[in-house]
Amino acid sequence: MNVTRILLLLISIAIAIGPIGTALIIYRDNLVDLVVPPEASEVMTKLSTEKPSAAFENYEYDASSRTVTLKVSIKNPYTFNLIINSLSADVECTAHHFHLGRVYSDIPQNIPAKSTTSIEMTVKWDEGVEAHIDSDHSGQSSILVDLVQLAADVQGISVQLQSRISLSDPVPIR
Amino acid sequence: MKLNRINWFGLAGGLTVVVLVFASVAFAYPWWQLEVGEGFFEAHTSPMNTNFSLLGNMLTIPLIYFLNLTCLLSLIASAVAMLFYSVLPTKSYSKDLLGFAYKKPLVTLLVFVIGLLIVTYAAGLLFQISFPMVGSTTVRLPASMSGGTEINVPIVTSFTWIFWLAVVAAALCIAARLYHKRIAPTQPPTQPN
Repeated sequence: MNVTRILLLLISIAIAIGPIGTALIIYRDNLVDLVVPPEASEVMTKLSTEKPSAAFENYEYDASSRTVTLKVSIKNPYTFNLIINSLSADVECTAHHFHLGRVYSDIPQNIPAKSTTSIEMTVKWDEGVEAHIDSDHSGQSSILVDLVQLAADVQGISVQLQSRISLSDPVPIR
Repeated sequence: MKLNRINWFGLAGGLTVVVLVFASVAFAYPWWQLEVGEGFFEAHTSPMNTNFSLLGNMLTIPLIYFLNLTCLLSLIASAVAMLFYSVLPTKSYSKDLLGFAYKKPLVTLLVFVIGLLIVTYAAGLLFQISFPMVGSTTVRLPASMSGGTEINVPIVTSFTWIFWLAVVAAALCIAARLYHKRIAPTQPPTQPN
């Protein structure tokens, strides 16, 4: 075997063993960190333990356009920004499960890290809803409603809740 | 130095590997990339530089970093040896340089593609999520992961032009090995008189 061949063989061995050997020496006390970095565990723990939360702030009803505007505040508990591209839900009368319309917001909202942002969603009552309110809720100035099929587009990922969400405050209807 | 004694395939292959290393390391161009949602999770991978981003948080897996370092040193050594060999292909040590250099780009490419196949297959087994190596799909998370909520995740994967440059580099290095027989044919053993 000539000198060149021996030299090249040594270079090959050094390249193959050097970096991995160095890694094993550096991480000899905690080999798990070699595969799962601490910052990844931290982010995954945050994602699984802390969830964004939504709270209904208030409603506004414009009788002339028969439009209800819901204001929802969404809290981002994470240390990174969240972008909500759209938010929508079907609104149903709690008492009769009558479909009143679909609230939506399709204006992308950037919720900065560790902060709360208000999102406005609107729904327009049509004549069928007016008829339902006149016949089944006559004399009432507000009704309790549920949100069903709540759908959100968060950073391109679509999330749809299957459960029914009952709003604690009644919605003004007159 | 005679021009007809230069292994032009080797020279082109060596220079292509240099460009490949420079683009992958200095400019961090990935060979393959994966995007989940709109910036929710991103993976930019190459045998020499790999980084992950989860909601804007850069993640580096040390094991992959050191494997990338191995590939980087291997390709640098390959490029240097191939360039030396290409301009001096008839020296006594040239065939050793060629043997050392010509397989490394191809081996790196194969290891990278096989690694990707394993990762995509393992993701399917572990998380019941399947996505193509090239293309886009929308994955519905299994109920066990989404807690009853319907979650659809768009996934886009693609090879970049750097990957195809790596294919060209590997092909040129193999061509250099084949062309070597024409510019430096093996001398038949001399017959004793």
